[in-house]
Amino acid sequence: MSSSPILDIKNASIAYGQNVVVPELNLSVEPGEFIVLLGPSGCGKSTLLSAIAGLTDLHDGQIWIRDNNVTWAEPKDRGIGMVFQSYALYPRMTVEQNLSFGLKVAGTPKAEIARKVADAARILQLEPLMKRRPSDLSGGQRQRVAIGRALVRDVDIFLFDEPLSNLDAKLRMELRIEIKRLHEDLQRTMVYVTHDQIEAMTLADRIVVMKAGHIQQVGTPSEVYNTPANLFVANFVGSPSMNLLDGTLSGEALTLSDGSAHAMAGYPLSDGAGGKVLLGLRPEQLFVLEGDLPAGANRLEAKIDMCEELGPNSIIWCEIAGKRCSFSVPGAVHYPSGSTVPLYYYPGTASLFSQETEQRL
Amino acid sequence: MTPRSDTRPPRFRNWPAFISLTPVWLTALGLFVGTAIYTFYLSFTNSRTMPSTDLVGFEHYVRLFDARRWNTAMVNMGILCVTYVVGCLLLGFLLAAALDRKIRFENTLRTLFLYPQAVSFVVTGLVWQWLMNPNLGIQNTLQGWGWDSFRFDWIEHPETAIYGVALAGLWQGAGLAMIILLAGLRGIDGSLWQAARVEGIPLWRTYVSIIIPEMRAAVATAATLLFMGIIRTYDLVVAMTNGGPGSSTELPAKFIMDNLFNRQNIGLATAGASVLLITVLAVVVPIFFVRAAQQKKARKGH
Amino acid sequence: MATATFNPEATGRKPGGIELGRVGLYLFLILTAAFFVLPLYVMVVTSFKEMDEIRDGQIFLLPQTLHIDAWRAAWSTDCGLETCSGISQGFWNSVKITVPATVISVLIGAFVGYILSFWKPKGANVLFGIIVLAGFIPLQVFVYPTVRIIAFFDLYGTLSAVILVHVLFSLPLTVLLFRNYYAAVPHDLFQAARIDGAGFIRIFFSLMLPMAIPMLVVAGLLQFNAIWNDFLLGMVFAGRDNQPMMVQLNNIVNVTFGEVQYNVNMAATLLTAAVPLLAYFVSGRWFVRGITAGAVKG
Repeated sequence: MSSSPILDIKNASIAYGQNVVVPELNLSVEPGEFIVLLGPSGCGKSTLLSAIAGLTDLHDGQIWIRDNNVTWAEPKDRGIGMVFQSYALYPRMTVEQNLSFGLKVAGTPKAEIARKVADAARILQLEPLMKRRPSDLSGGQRQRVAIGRALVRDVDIFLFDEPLSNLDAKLRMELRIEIKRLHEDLQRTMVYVTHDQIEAMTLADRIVVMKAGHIQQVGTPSEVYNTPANLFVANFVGSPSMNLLDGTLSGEALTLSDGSAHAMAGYPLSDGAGGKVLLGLRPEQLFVLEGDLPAGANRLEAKIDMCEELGPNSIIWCEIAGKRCSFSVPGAVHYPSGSTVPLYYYPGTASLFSQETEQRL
Repeated sequence: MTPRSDTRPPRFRNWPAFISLTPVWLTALGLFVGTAIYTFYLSFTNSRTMPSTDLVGFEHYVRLFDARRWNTAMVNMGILCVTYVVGCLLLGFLLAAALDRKIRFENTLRTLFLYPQAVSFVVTGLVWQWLMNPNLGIQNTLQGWGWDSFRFDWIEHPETAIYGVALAGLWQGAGLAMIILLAGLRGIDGSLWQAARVEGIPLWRTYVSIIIPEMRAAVATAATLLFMGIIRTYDLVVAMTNGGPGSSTELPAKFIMDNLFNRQNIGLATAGASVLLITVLAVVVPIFFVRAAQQKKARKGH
Repeated sequence: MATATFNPEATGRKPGGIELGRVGLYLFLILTAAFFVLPLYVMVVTSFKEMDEIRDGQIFLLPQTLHIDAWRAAWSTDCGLETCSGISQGFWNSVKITVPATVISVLIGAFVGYILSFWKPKGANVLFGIIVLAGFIPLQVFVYPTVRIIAFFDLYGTLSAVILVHVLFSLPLTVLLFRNYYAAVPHDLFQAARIDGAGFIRIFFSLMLPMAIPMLVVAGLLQFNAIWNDFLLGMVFAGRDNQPMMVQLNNIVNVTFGEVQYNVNMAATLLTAAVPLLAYFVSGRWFVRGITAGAVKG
C-alpha cells in the first residue's frame, strides 16, 4: 500500500481556452508527505492545486488519488479537503455547524457526525469555540476550523491554497508552526501552495519549484537550496539570493571575468562540461580569509560597499569580480566602505550553471 | 492663509466652510424640516382651499380613516408591498443569480433587464395601459391566435386593476433589485462557492444555506428602496389608470396630490401626508440608529 | 466517498453533454429578456403602423410599411388640453429645465459633499443626517408649503421655479453620492494640500473637483434622467407655458377626443422616453455604477 503514491498526476495539462497554463506535468506524492508547490505568482501552482481538487478541469492527462482515477470525479468524491486563502468559513454558521455541514448534507447519521465533529474539535483544540461564529475567531482559530472541515470528512489529502499570504508577519509565523505541528500529529498527506520560500523551506518534505507551468525542480528543502537545478531556482530560493559570477570553464579550470583562476576540483562535473558559465555561491558559502587559504578552497576579493547588521549575523554587500554580491558573517561585523576583504569558498559547495542553457552543470 | 491665522482656534479657520454651508442649512431646516412641520401643522387646521389657522384637532385624521378612498389607497399600498416588493426581490434575485452563473452575453442581458429604470413612470404606465387594453393589446392578439380563454385586461376590472399596476411596477423595478442583489452576490468571497463544492453541497443548498444569508444587507437595501418607491408612487398610477376603475387603484401619494390641488382639501391632504411621513420615519429612523450603532461598534473593533 | 465510481480510463476534460440546468438557465434568461423587451418592441412597431393595421389587433407583427406620419404628428401637430402643437414644445421645455438643473445640482452636490467630507464644520453630521433623511420622505410632504414659498417669491409657474425645486429636492441624492465618494479619498491628500498652502476654494477646484470626474459623470447621468423623467414637480411648479415633456405627454395621451390615435400616442411616448434611453444605452456601465452608488445609502 505504501509503495504506491497517494497522489499521482500523469501528463496533466491545464488550459483556459487557448491559453495553456500548465503543460504536460507529472508529479507523484507519497502518503503522509508534505509537498509544497512554490513559485512566483502566475506560475500555475494554484491552478494545479485547483485541478487536483477538481475545481478546474484538466485539458489532458490524468489525476490518480489512492489508486482511483479521479480525473472526471466531483471534488467531493476525490477524498480531498481544501483550506482556502480566505479560509472560506461559512459566515452565518457556528464553528460546530461549519464542521458538520458537509456531513449533514451528505446524509451521514447524526451520531456519526457528532463523533467525528467531537474528534476533530479535540484534535484541533476547538472545543471552547464550538458555538462561536467565524467573525469572532482569531486568524489561527479560523485556520484550525478550516482544517477541521477537511478533517471530519476523513480525506486522504489536504490541499492548502496560500493560507498565510494575507496575514501579518508575526501571525504568519505562528500559523506556519501550527500547520507543521498538525502535519506531524495527523500524518496526513498535504499539498501546500505558496510563493513564500520561507514557508516552503520550513514546512515541506519536498518542494516543487514551478515557473510558467513547468516544474523546475522537485527536492527536499536542502536539495533545492544547496543544489538548485537551474538559474531560476537559484535566484528564486534564498534571501539574499545566490551570488552569480561570470566565468569560463575548461576542464576543471574556471576563469572568472576579472581574470582570476579557480580550480573546481571537488565539484561533481560531468564530462565535457565547459564554456561560458556562472559560478553560484550562497552568501553563507563565502568565508572571510584570515591567514592562509585552507586546502581545497578558492580565493576571492570583495570590495566592501555596505554592511547590514541583523543581530545574529551581518550581511555584507560588496563587489566581487565586477558583480554585486553579498556574504554573511556571524555577529556584528563592520568593514569600512571601499575597503577590500579577502574571501574563500569550497568548490564542492558551489553551483555552476551553463550560461547558455541556464541548467546546473 | 497667513501663518498668523493658524494660531487661532481651529474652529475659526473653518469659516469658509461655515459660510458655504449656510444656504444648505437654510434649505435643510427651511425646505425639509420646516415644510414638513408646516404640513404636519396644517393637518390640524381647518384648511380647505387656503391655509387657515383654526385648529380642529384630529378631525381630518378621523375623516381620513373614514374615507373609503383613503382606505382603498392604504390597502392598495399593502397589496403592492406584498406583490411588487416581493415580486421585484424574487425576480431580481433570480436574474442576479442567473447573471452570476458565468453566462454568455451577460452585459447585454443586464442592459436589457435594467433599461426600464431609465424609463419614466409616466411612460411605463402608458405602455402597460396599452398592453392591457382588451381590444388592441396582448389579450386580443393571443385570442386571435386561438387562445380564447386568455385574459390580460386586469386594469379594466376593479378587483384586478391594482395587480396590473403591480406588474407594470415589477417591469420597471425588478432591474433595480437585480443590480443591487448582483452587487451583493459579487461581494461574497468566491472561495465560499469552491469550499461548498469541495464538500459536495448541492448548488441549491449552497444558495439557501450559505449565499442568501450573506446577502441580508443587499436584500434590506433593495427592499427599503422598493418600499420607498411604493410610498411615492404617483405618476405611474396617474398615467396608467388615473386611480380607476372607480377608485380601485388609488394610492396614498395620489390621494394627497388630488386633495391638495384638485379637491381643495388641504387639511385632509396634509393629514394624509403626515401619515406617510410618520410611516417613513418609523421605518427609516430605526435603521439609521442601528446603522450608526453598527458603525460605532465596527470602529471600536478595529 | 466509498460509493463513488471512478472511470479508470478518464483522461483530460470530462466529456460534458449539455447540462439540463444550463438549458433551463438560458431559457429563463431568454423568457425574462422577452418580458423586458416586449413593451419597447410593441411601442416601436405600433408607432410605425397605420390605424387600420392597429385595429387588426396583431400587436407583435411588424408594420407592413413604415409610416412616419404618426411620428410627425406626435412631434408637431398632436393635440393636448388646449393646443395642437405636438410634443415638441414640451421637449424644448424639458431641455431648458433639465440641462441647467442637472449641472447646478451636480456642482452643488460636489461642493457640499466636499465640505462635509473634509472640512467637517461643527454640525456637519447633523446636517448630513437631515439631508439624507429628507431623501427618504415623499415629496407629497414638502410640496404644498413649497408652493407657498415659491409663490411668496413670485416665481410660481416660471422656469426658474422648476429648476430651483429640482436642484433643492435633489440635494439628498447628490450630496450623498459625493460625500460617499469623497469619504474614500485619503484624508492625507487633503492635509498635504493644506500644508502646501492651498485654501478652501483652491483645494476644491484644483484637487477635489477634478478627482471626482467619474462621480460627476455618474451623478450627472442619474440627475439628468431623474429630472427629465419627473412628472410631479413639473406638473405642480411649471405652469402652463413651461410644461415639461412628461406632463405634456400624459395630457396628450390620457385626454383624447374621438378615436384614440395609438400610433401617434406611442410615437409621442417614444419621443419622450428617447432621451433618457439614449443616455442609458450609450453609458450603461456608468448608469449601473450610479444606481449601486446611490443604493448603498448612508
